[in-house]
Amino acid sequence: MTFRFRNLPLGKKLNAALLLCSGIAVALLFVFMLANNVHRLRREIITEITTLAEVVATNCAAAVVFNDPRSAAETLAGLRAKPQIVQAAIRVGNGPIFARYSSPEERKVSTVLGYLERHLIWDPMLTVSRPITVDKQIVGTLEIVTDISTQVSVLEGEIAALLAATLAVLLVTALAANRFRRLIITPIDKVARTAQAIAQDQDFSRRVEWTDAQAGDEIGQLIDAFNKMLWQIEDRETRLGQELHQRKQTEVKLDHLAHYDTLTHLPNRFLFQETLALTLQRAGNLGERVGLLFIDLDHFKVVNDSLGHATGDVLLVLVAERLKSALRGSDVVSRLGGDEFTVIIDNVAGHAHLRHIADKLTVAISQPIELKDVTLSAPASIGIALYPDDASDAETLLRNADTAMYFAKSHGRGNYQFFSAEMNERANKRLMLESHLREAVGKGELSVVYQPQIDFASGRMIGCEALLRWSNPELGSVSPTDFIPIAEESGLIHVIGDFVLKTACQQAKSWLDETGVALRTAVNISIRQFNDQHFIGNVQRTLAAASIPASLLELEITESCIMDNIEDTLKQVRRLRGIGIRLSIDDFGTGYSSMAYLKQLPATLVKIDQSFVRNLPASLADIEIVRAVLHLAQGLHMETLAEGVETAAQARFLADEGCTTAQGYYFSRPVSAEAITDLLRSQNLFTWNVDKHAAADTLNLTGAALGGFARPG
Amino acid sequence: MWVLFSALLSLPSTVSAQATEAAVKAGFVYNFTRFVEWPPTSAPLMQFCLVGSNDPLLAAVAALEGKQSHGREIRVRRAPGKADALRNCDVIVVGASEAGNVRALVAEVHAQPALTVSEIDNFADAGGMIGLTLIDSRVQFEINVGAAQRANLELGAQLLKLARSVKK
Repeated sequence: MTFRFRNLPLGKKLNAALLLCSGIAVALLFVFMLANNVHRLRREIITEITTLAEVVATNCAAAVVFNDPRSAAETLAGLRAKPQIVQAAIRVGNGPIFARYSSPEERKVSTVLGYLERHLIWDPMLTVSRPITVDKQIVGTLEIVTDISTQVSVLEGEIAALLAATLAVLLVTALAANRFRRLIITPIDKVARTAQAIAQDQDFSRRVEWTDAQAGDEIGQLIDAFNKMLWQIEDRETRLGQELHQRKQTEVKLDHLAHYDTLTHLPNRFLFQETLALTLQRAGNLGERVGLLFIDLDHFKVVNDSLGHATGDVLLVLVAERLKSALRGSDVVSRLGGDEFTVIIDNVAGHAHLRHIADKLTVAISQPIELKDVTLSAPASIGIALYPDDASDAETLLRNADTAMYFAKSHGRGNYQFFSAEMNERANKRLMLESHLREAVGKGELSVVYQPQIDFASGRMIGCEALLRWSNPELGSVSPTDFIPIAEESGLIHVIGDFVLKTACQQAKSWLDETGVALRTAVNISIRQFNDQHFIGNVQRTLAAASIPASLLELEITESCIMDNIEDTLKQVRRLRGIGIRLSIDDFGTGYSSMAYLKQLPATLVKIDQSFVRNLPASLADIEIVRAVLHLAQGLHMETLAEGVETAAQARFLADEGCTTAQGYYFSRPVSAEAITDLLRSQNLFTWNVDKHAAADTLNLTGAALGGFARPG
Repeated sequence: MWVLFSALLSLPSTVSAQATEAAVKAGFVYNFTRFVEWPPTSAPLMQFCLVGSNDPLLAAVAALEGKQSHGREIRVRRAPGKADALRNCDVIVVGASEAGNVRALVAEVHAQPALTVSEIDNFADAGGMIGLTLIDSRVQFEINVGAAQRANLELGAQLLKLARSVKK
């Protein structure tokens, strides 16, 4: 492994750098001081030798001028006292040496330093030359050669001291380096360690702990900045985490929204379909049976409309809870929407099993529900279909359960029905009827007939009821009781209703124009038409188009329709009455009218349902009912009309009891507009109050013009 | 000059050797003055007085005329061996002809700060201050310190050191 300086830890690098720098500095100082000392010493020696030379020169002057070399030599010999003086010589002019002196001592290289200075640093031989003067005249020259190396060796002590000082400096430097290490390396090391730790465990809540960080130098700033950066990263991490968490929650929420009903928290239609498909697939593989219950609350719309949507929602939640608590955990309850629920029953033994469950559910749902200020009962109609008996796929199974539910509804609600193939046939028939009906208006298959309404007092026709007929080339004549419900459910009722209204109004105009008689025409209005916001405008336009007064038009609404949505109906009726249109309550007595509302209802006419008339005058109960109704109508200042009068006895009874008008086969079947025209042109008289034995014949005679009227309806 | 000087010194004693020896001795006389301290004086001239009949030394000393010593210009003149004549003399060079009169002559200049020099034998013993002599072909000298001191002259230590003999 090769040594590389750059791989060393920062601390060692710094130590090395500091030691190197201080080493160089100390070495330079050392050399400088040594050189300075040597120089100083050299100068001292020069000064000393020069002084000595002066003395010697003076002392030799006489010997020179008196030409006494021996004496001069003797004087020079005195230099022996200075062992560093190697030699001395006196020269006179340029001639040979006059006198000389040589040190008797053997010069030795005593120290390494001496060797160095001799060979490397400087010339150790110092030559001092002084003139010899006598009376200011130069008479010769004295040269003294000194070996200063021995003198320099005096410096060895100093050198030793310098070396010691150097060592001390290096030691201090090392100590200072340690101090620097604490000040500089340790914090950097902490930053590095923190960064490594974070890289390892991704814990961004770590911080560099360094109390001197407040110092404000670069390291303090570095740590501060590092910690700030960590704080930002941690913050970002936290926010990212939160965002991810929120996103996940949102996904869960969206998933829940996509698959669950927000109100009841039951699986929605989507999840139901998935679950049903899976359940059927599994059951198919295992050879098991699956029951599907289609539950629809009865009268939910009434609750919603009369008590508000909030109450409706509470009701739905309660029903959902009841369904769930009445079932096993494995049974899947879903809400398809509105007031429609489904239950998937896994691994069904047979009809008895499902019957048991359906009974339980019916009981559970129909329990009275205590709300804030009302107690409700929300019975449900349940349709049941079985896989694989009734259907081989989920879609068909659901449709069949729906069909069965529809039959339960038509069976008086609050019950359950098992699907049967016959139901499908009937349902298919409905579909077929609907598709034909859709085309009926355009193809002119619809027509209107009119049934006269007779005033008991005068025996004259004072009005007529417009009745719709449908004659289809394939189906023949279709009863309104068969196709009107279909028209209502499919929405075709608006087109058909408009057709009847328009035809009736135009006919009333024709009668007026042709016969001069203003014959009142009654038109049945479906509740769906009636509740349409454009209805009144539509009626007004129709009246205007036909150019007949509003008083010639009478609208008939069934009692049950009025009571379904009493508040809105009251407003609508008042508006219609304000225009001058007559209003009659159809099928009165079949629904359960609130007397309080009835009082407020500004109807002009109450029509007594034929079911009460049929058994008159034999049925005592019917007699009482009819009497009560008549009494009520009189009290409310409404006119009365009895429907379905078929016998003279009935007519007579009703007239006797105070009923003012009537219609029925006894007087006339519904007839064509032309027949009515003829009747109006003739005397328009029904002689009804004849002897009861000959009543029928008499009637028909009187109404001869009506003899060939339409087929019975 | 030194080469010439040395060469001359090493020459054998010939006719011309006499002249050379006198020149060396004259040089000595000149040099003696540079190592002798006279009592302080403001006299700008240094008076050399030559006593005796002419001889090579006196002739050579006469040649010192004009040279400087102690910042004073040397003047050389002949003078009779009488006190009056010698009163202003700073240096008195006694010629060989006066060998018999040394004591008297010295007595004449007694207590006068005048340096007496001669090549007469035993001149210092006879009361003279510096006596020149030739030994082993080398010019040497003898000193009478007492005479110098009495004359208030200070002879340099080097001079005493070089002297062949010093008489107190």
